[in-house]
Amino acid sequence: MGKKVLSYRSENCTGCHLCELVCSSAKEGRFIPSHSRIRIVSNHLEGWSRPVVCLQCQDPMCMKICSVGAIYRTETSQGYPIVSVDQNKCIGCHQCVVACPFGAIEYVKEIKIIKCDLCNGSPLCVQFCFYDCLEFIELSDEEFQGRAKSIKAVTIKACREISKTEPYWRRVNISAEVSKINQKE
Amino acid sequence: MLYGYKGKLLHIDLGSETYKTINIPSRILKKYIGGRGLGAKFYWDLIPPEVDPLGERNVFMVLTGPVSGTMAPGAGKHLIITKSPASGGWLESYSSGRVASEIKFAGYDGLIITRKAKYPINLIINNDKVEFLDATQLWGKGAFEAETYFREHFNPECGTLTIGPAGENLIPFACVGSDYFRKAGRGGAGAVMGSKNLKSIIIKGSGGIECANIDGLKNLILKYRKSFKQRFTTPMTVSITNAAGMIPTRNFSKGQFNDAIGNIDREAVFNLKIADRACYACPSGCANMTQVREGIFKDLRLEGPEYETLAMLGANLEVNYLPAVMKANYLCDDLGMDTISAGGIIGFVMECYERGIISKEQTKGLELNFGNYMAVIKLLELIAHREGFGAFCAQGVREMAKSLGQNTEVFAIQSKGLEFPAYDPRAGWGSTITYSVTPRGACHRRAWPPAVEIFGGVYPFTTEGKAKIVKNLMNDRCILHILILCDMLGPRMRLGMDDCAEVLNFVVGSDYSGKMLNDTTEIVETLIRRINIREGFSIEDDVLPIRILEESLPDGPGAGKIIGEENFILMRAEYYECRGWDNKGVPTQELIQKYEYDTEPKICLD
Repeated sequence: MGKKVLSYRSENCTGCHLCELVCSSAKEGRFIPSHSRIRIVSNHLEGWSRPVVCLQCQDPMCMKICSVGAIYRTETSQGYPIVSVDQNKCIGCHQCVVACPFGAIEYVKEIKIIKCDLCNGSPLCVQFCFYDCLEFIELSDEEFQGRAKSIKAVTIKACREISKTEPYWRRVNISAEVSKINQKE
Repeated sequence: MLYGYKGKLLHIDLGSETYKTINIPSRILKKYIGGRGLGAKFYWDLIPPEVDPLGERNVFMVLTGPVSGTMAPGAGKHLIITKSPASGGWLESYSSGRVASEIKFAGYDGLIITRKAKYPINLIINNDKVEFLDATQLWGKGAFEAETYFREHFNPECGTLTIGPAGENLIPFACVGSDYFRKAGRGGAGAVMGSKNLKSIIIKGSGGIECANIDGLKNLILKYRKSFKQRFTTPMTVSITNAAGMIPTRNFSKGQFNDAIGNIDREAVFNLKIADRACYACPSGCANMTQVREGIFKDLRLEGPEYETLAMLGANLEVNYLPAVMKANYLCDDLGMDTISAGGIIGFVMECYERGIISKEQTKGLELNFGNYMAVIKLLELIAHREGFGAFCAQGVREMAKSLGQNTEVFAIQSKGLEFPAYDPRAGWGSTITYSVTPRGACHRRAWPPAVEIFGGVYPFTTEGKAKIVKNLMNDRCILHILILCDMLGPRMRLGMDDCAEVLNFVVGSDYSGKMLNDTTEIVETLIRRINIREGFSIEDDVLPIRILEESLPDGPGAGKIIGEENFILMRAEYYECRGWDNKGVPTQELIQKYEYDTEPKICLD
């Protein structure tokens, strides 16, 4: 069985933010987009919006930097790779927030670190994306390795931005490029 | 306990730069529900009749509905309530973007802004904190520049309400913009903000909204998912109204503009489209991001143009060059003016110019012939800044006709001081009722009779049954405006009273039925009628221009058919009767007592 990954076509994103709303409703039981695991960045004047969500990297920067080992790689019950956070170990130091070149991990006061966990294998944001932007696609091993390589390349490029720009602007700068690697023709 | 609501209003006093929260009694929430309903209650309690719309005592309210900030389909709309500088009475104006949801996330059901700032200011609302920032630097700048400033310096993902130079210069059809291209356009809410020295309101909230049955709401959305796929976009209306002989052409002297087809219709707009855009929380985004490819307006990029703009700044002025309409649209958005009123006003002065009532000396050299789009673009800037001939046009059609005299009121196409939107009532007589009795003036969003007269098989050129049809259409819209759900998406999903009740119950956890919601719409419509009567309006104000009543259209299916004053009066009288008002359109004492307006708690700011 292949591995499934969350992918998006940013050119189809309309900026409706339904993914943020449904994500927060699933994780927090209410509509609170500030606690959403997926984020939309937009420029309404230029007319574009793009999703930002954890890529579940093979070699995650957030995991590497975590000094207490609270971030680890694991799999959903279907065997899809995810990067997960142990809230008991987390000391709330924000290092991972700074380290993620994609701005896909975030700190909120009430729960400490939040990030996408693929809703245990059936992401709700995909179900509630009515514009064919978010997709949950199955990759062959070969494709999966190719994706990991592309992510690595983008990560290296994006790392130069770390400490120079805030996570929000890193999201804006890198999300279009991330969209390209994720596309499966 | 009611879910969905925050139960609080944020009252901001610009005069003393202070703010506090006010609780809304749950009895009032239950009765008026939200949006237009609560707005009517607040207007009745807070804005006395002697208040000048542009004076310090007018109140500027930004309201949400119980479903705002949730995933309910089309919930991304907010509502501005104030006294209208265009009509001098009730004004409600809707727009979309992040404003409504951010207000809810910040912990309020609405903002109530009173008095006037001593110098230009911006309001920054960040959860429970309000900052009053000097706006001198931004005063005089376009709405886009002001909004960009806050997205760069405060928070890129915030709710914004901004005005452009038109609002600052108190133009009676200045609008309030949000998310750049979304406008609460009609009736001059922007001028009220300008009169309060308020350039922009920026809102960011990080809280959440609890719902009674969040899974029910999500399943409801999935149930409708097929209807989201067929995206309705307003430019397709151009060819429909043109075929129906309903598209205003040459200041409403014709009902067909055949040049529109292929030039300023859906195909033309889609040809320049570069992306789909959606309002906040909308599963069926209908906005088109377009970009001009060549010519003098090359690279101009905007969201739109929508039908009303294509018709009022296109067909009504006989402009058939889409990039010029887009440029005019962009200018109106940035200057902060309503495209519908702007189109109506320029159409009126063009007709005056061609008839020789206005001379080239008076226009200071502008050649205002129909079709001269460069003159239109020039005039828009002049109007917003009240410069040259623009200062004359800035009064609006009603006042211009008064000062010109010479029977110009015959073709001054307005009602209650608000210029007509782009559906000629002579090609579908139901619109005569909506345009005349709508509280804020000639309006196409309180009810849309073309829905039944073009698509529903109802014969357009008769008075028969129209009052009842229009009243029911108005109630169906009213409930969407109370909840507040999108009135474009709602009708397409065929959200009736029962469906609205279902959505509302999922959110607030109450036991509303469709019948109860219908009763609420009656209570609200009658209260708004009382408001306008208190403001001094009467049956004499529920009228239409002579051109619409006594002249016939030369073309289209309605050619040669005259509505006539008698027919109009008949339909209007039937409408009053359907509402349970007397033959002068005044709500009866029985009705007033039945709806318990005078025995319920009053909203008080102190």
